[in-house]
Amino acid sequence: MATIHGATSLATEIAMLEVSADDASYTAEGKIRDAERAAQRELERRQISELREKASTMRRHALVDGGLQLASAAGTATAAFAQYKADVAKIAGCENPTAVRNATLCGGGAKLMDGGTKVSDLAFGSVETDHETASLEWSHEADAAKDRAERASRAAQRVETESDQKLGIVQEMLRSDADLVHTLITRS
Amino acid sequence: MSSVTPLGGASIAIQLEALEEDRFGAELKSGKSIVKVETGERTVRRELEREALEKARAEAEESSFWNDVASVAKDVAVVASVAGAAFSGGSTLIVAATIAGGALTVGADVAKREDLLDDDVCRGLEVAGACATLGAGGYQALFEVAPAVSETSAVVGLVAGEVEGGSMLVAAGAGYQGSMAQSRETDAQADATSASSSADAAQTAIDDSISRMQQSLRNRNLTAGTIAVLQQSDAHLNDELINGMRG
Repeated sequence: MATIHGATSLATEIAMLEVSADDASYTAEGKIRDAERAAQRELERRQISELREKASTMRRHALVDGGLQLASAAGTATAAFAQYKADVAKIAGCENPTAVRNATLCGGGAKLMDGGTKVSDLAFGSVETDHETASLEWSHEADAAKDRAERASRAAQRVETESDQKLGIVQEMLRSDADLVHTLITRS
Repeated sequence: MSSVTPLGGASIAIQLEALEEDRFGAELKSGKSIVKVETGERTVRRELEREALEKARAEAEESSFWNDVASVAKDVAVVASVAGAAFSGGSTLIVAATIAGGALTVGADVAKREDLLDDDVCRGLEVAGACATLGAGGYQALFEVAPAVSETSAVVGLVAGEVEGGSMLVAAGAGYQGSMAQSRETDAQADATSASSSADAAQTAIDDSISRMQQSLRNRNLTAGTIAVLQQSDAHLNDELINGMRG
C-alpha cells in the first residue's frame, strides 16, 4: 500500500511540477504578448505621426506653391500689359522706358517665380514622399508586431490548455488514489 | 467522535467551494463589465474609422477634381506663353527656350495623366521644362526685352499674356484647393488609422476578457470536481467507520 501510495504521490508531484513549469511558460508568453502589443501601439502611433507630418508638409507646400503661382500670375499679367504699352509707344515712334523696365522686371520675375514653383514642387514632394515611406515602414512593422503578439497569445493559450489537461490528470490520480485507499480499508 | 474530523474536512471543502463560487462570480461580473465597456468603445471607434475613411474618399475626389482643373489651367498658361513668345518676336534663344520649356512641361503633364510614360521619366521632363523656362526668364530679365514688330503682334502678345496670367491665377487657386484637399485626405487617413488602432485595442481587450472568463470557468469546474471527490471520499470514509463501529 505504501509503495502504491508513494508512486501515486510521486506521479502527482511530477505532474504538479509540470503544471508549475507551464505556469512559468504561460507567464513568459504573456509578457512577450504584452510587449509586442505595446510595440504595435507605439509603431502605429509613429505611423499616425508620420501621416500628420505629411499632411502638415502638404499644407505648407500648398501655401508656398499658391503664393509663388499667384505672384507669377500677377507678374505675367502686369508684364503683358507693360509690354503692350512699350510696344504701342515704340510703334508710335517714341520710347516708354518705364513700361519697358516694368515689362522686363515683371516678365522675368514671373518666369523665375514659375521656375521656383517647380523647384518647390520637387523639394516638398521629396519631403512628402519621405513621410509616406516612413509611415508605410511603421505600418509594416506594426503589422509584424501584431503577428508576433498573436503568435505569443496562441502559444500562451496552448500552454494554458495543456496545463489544464495536466491538472485534470492530477485530479484523476487523486481520485484513483482515494478509491484504492478505501478499497484497502474495506478489505482490512 | 471519530466521524467529526472527516465531516469537518467536508465542511471545509464546502466552504472552499463557496469561496471559489464567490470568486468566480466576481470575475464573471468584472469580465462582463469589461466586455460591455470595450464593445461600446469598439463600436464607437469603428464608426469613427468608417467616417474618417468616408471623409478621405470625399477629399480624394475633391483633390482629384481641383488637380485636374489646375493641370488644364497650367497647360493653357503654357500654350499662351509659347504663343505669346512666338508672336512677339525676340531672340531665337529665348523663343526656342520658351517653346522647349512649354513643350516639355505640357508633354510631361499629358504623359503623366494618360500614364504614357514612367513617373521618373515624367519628372525628368518636368525638370527639363522647368530649367528651360527658368533659363528663358532669367535671360530675358537680365539681358533683353522681346521687341514688338507690329500692332497686331503687340495685341496678340497682350492677349496671350493676360490669358497666361489668368490661367496661372486659376491654376494657383485650383492647385491650392487640390493640395489642401489632399492634406485633409491624409489627415483623415491618419484619423482612420488611429480609430482602427483603438478599435483593435478594444477588440483585444474583449478577447482577453473572454479568455480570462473561460479560464476562470475551467478553474472553477476543476475545483468543483476536486471538492466533489473530497466530499465523496469523506462520505465513503464515514460509511466505513460507522459500519466498523456497528461491528
